[in-house]
Amino acid sequence: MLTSGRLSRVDLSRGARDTAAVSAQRSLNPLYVIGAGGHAKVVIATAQSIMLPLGGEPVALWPDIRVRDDNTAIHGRSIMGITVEGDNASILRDPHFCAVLAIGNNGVRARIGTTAKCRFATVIHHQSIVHSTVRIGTGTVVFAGAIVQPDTVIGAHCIINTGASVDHDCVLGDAVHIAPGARLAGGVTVGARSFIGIGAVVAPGITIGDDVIIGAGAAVVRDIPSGTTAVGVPARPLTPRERL
Amino acid sequence: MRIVVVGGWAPSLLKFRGPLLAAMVGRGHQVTAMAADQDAETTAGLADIGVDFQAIGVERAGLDPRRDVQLVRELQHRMRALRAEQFFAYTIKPVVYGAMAARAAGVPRRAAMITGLGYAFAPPSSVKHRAVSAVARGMYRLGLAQCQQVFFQNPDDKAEFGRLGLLPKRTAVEIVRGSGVDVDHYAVAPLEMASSEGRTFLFVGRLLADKGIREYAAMARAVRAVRPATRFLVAGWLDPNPTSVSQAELDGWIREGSIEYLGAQADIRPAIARAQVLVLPSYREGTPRSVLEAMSMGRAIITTDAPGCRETIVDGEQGLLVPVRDAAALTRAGLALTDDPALLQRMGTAARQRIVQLYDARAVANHMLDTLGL
Ligand SMILES: CC(C)(COP(=O)(O)OP(=O)(O)OC[C@H]1O[C@@H](n2cnc3c(N)ncnc32)[C@H](O)[C@@H]1OP(=O)(O)O)[C@@H](O)C(=O)NCCC(=O)NCCS
Repeated sequence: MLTSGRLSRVDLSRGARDTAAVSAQRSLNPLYVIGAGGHAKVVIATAQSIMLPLGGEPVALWPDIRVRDDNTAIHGRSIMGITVEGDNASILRDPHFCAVLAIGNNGVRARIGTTAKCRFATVIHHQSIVHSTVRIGTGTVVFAGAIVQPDTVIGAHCIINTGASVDHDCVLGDAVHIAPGARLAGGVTVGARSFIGIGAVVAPGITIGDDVIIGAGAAVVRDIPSGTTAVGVPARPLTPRERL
Repeated sequence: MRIVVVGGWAPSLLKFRGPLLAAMVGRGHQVTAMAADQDAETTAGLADIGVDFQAIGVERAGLDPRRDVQLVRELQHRMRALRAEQFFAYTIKPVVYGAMAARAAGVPRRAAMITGLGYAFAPPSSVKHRAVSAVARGMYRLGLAQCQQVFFQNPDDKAEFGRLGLLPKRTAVEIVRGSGVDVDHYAVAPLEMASSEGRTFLFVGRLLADKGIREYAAMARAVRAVRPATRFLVAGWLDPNPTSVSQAELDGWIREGSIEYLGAQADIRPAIARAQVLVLPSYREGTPRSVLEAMSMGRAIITTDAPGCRETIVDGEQGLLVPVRDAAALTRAGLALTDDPALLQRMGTAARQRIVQLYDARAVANHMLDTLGL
């Protein structure tokens, strides 16, 4: 009698443990930050800012953040208290993992974003202001103090950096980076993989092509064709001579 | 062969067993369906597929022994008058009283379908609950002892009945995929139909704690806190069931804007078409019809790693599985789908494929009839 009672209790607890293991794995749902540079610190801080109101104490959306980098030299090092645990490939190829790309290079982000098989998280800082009509692509990050105004559409794997503002009706392609403090007026179009440098301003309705680089502090008042680098006030393309 | 099919709630005969009844008629059998409450629409619908209907005195809840004895007598009388050769029933009272009546009436072939264990099999929450559970189990043991064939809708229910000793050894057991779903009736609704309203989630069912309605409301509040444009629809109704939420609680969710209450729907398809994701955070199901219907219409699913629910999808392919009673996990799953339209599209397509391959109602009905040798 005793024995059989104990046996059945053991069986039950084993069942319960299995379920609990599965549950824990799924409910923790780790967020893998791909890249361990300075930019990754801000991605981590942004992910950590997001709390869910679930009654009682708010619950972190991502209680388990992990960091990966292909540079084996930094494996085992700590970034924001998180140990860099290994390379990217094993995460990126598995649809069960959820990742965010903390890589500054727009071309690299775009390439990984389109080839990876994992899911991507969209990470929007708790203290940014994103209007409810804004559509934001998967894998994009929006940092503290950024403001995105009504009816703007932002692509996948973009970076809307600290304190940047993107006004109404803008359209940003995939893997665009709006650097800290840059300001886009209303109705601006920015092509895929383009970079708007820190503190740059873009006048209303301007179209910036794909793979463009706008220098720090530039004032863009004319359309910028794809593939060009433009600097200054007003922004002009860097000539090949200047680039030598 | 003369077949008598007994269910508890008249509309369920058409809604849930329609394809099975039609397949019986299609194989040349004469079929009489019985259920409580006379219902003109059901009678007409059944007549259309060539099935006779007789109303009987079944009440779904409640335990009044005198009425139950009357019911057994009534069923026995009716089956004898029909000279029934095959008895088939689903839901607890029709199975138990019907099987006893069928035996007494000399119906030689008797089969039952366990459609979901419900309140009586949930972990007991009170002394009264424990008593109700014990009675329900005793009833099932009695009823199933009279049946040669029992159908289950998922392996967990079968295992549970085995563990509780409710299945006599000589009774044959078969697992079927619920009642399947009519893949033509629940045709694919393009996802674009839904996207104009922003990301939209849908819960379908009675507003019972055991269906996870409170977790759904919590998820709605939390997802909307970080993605304010997201919408959470509820197509369901308050139920006399002891675990139902109250009107006041429902009103609170509506007032704070977490959920949009659609009420009971005569036809669920427009509500499914409006949503991109169907959410069923239930603690236990037989085979959840709302999930199958939404999948058939090409919708991604969020449901629980619970009996009956976990079989409907493969985690990560047609949707996401989360632990039961875990609003945080549910919220994370909701956000993952909110933020990834490509994933939604992929899962919706995979959902439809899975239904067509495995849950087509005609295939499920044929599987049952083959098993019964009809
Ligand atoms: C535009 C930029 C990418 C050009 O880099 P580069 O191709 O290496 O160019 P160089 O540094 O060789 O400069 C070429 C010429 O352009 C000028 N120049 C470069 N950046 C300029 C800028 N932002 N505004 C005005 N002139 C600029 C240089 O002074 C130099 O002129 P010179 O030939 O007369 O001396 C870079 O200077 C820049 O502005 N980067 C922005 C960085 C940023 O915003 N980072 C934020 C990260 S979060």
